Amino acid sequence: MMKKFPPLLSLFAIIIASTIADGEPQRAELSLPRTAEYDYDVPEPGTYTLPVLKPAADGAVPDSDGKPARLHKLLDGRITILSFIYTRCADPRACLRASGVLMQLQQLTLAEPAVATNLLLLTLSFDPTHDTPEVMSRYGAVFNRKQGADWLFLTTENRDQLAPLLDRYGQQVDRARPGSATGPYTHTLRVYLIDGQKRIRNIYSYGLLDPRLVMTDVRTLLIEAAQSKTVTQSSAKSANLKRN
Amino acid sequence: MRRLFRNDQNSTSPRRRLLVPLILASLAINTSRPALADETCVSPYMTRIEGQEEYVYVWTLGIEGLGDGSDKLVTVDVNPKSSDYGKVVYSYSVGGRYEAHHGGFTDDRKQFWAAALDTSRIFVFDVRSQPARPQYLKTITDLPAKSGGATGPHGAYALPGRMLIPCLSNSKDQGGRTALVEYSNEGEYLATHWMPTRDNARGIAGAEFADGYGYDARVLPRKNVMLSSSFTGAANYLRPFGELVQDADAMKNFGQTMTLWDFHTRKPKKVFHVPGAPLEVRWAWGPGHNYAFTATALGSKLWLVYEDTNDEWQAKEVAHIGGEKGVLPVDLSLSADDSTLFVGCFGDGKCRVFDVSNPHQPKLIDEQVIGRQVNMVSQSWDGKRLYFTSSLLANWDKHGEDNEQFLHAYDWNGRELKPTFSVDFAKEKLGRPHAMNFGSSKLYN
Repeated sequence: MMKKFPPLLSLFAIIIASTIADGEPQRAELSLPRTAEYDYDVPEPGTYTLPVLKPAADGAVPDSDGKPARLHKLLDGRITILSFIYTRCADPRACLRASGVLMQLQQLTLAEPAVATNLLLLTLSFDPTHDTPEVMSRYGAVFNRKQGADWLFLTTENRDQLAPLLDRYGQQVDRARPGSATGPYTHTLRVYLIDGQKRIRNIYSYGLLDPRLVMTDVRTLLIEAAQSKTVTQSSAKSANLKRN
Repeated sequence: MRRLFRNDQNSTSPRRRLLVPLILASLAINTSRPALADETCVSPYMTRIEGQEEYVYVWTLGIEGLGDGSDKLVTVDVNPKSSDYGKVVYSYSVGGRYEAHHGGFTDDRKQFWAAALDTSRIFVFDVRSQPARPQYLKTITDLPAKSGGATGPHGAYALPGRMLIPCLSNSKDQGGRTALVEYSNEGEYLATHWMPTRDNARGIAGAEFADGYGYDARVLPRKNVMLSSSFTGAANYLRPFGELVQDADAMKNFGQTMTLWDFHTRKPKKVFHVPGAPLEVRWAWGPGHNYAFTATALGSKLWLVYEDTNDEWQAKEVAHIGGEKGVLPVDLSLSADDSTLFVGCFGDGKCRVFDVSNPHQPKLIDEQVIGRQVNMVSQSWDGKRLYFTSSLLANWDKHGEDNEQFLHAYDWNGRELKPTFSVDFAKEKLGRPHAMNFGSSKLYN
């Protein structure tokens, strides 16, 4: 079977790859510096609050082997970074960028097992016609270091399954004008931060998709969860004392 | 902790070796997106129009006895190729007068939120389904109750998945103490951030100036900062202007500050003393252009808020805008290349144009009468088209022959404004045109 892969992307990749030495790319830094695009120091985790924006929607998302799964089952109990993409996207500022940032996040968790254990990276295609589980699996193989936080690359079975998910997450996707150089769809770049109770706590877009900020938000939610657990345990102790 | 999917052994596939450099290259690309059209003061988080704007949505105050007397969202066709070019093609009345003020699109540009200073309502329209005919969806009425007493929503500013509503007043005393309020795109209340005051300055720099007033608020993402400005409370902005200026005590109740915030944490960092009611905030767009302009309505001065060479944020007056007694500058439009600043001056109805290629030394390069009164100015991204409206506030607009109510469109050739079309909002029985926002059917497929 002929492998489907975005021709523009492949061409671009070959050109760039030809300019570098063969072999494993340099191991990423475990911390990231300020850049011209993100020219600030990130706040300390836990020094601010992240309001609940809305519940994270559920839906059917076959896993990479095509077996049935539910999104809520994946989200339950750990913090999730959810990114909607499509593999035919040839806009380096959009899907490729989002997946690149998730790749950075996964690398950042290499030095933090506690964060890695409690974090799920989830890339979900909004192009089920093209992005079959097999295509997503191949796409995932490019990005996933398979170390650090888990990273899943999923799709839906069809547009009927996809439409309510896009609607409820507020992920806009439109058909591009015929012959568009960036691929068949236009879309808002959106990456979602979801807490362990399946609630959206932040949305990152252009100008906000700074991996340092995302990781700070993840740590803030972990601190919040730990404090909540402490309060819950303390309340339970008080209740037990009262009962006794 | 449940782990439904286990990681496999680390692998380095040929495809990974090919694509990782591309991914790394994508991370080095600046994602701030240039556009060929659209307004220059839009939220950086919003989908932008590429090419000629097709519509200008005009949030319009109703006038008792004129037409249906209600506030309305008016669509003007501004596509030169359209047979309706320069004409009103649709209007939707919201059934009452609520002091229509500013508005904004959600980040995905599906909705337009139109804010009203009186009663603190926000009218939400669907602009995606029929861009020429915005469809009314709902009215948000719970802002004062949910926010803890903030009132007078100035406008609506798109953030990813949510809207920032800078307010002007409060329900307790109708004064200028106020807050920034956030709602989700679905219209659910999220958070309130009160402007710092001397009593509650949270240890920030410039705490001695903190007056708690608010007006506009805009974000410079690459520096993770938000800048807010300050005007006055409902007790003043709903009062007849002629009466207000005679009340010396009331005239003391105007904002004197701008506040720089840590955007991500929504915590104030520094308060600047900017006397004379600094209104609109306009961040520069260019890489490394870490500065914003504002104009003080009562002081008639142009101010620059900028990051100095020590990475400290400062504010300073950089130009007098006009008139010995001031010209009431009320709106600003900065060109996308950060070179030209257009200032709408309500007092004498002029647009003053400054060369701001050196933001520390603006130079007046043109001034032109737009009408007997002028308020808002909106500019296309390519800098070629400008639109002006006339109304400031229902009780502050001029009277008699001076009370012109219009939308005037111009072309800018780099030296002067040349009129293209005009809509007489009084003759069309529409009302007082205020804020303008651009629309296009090409955003949606």
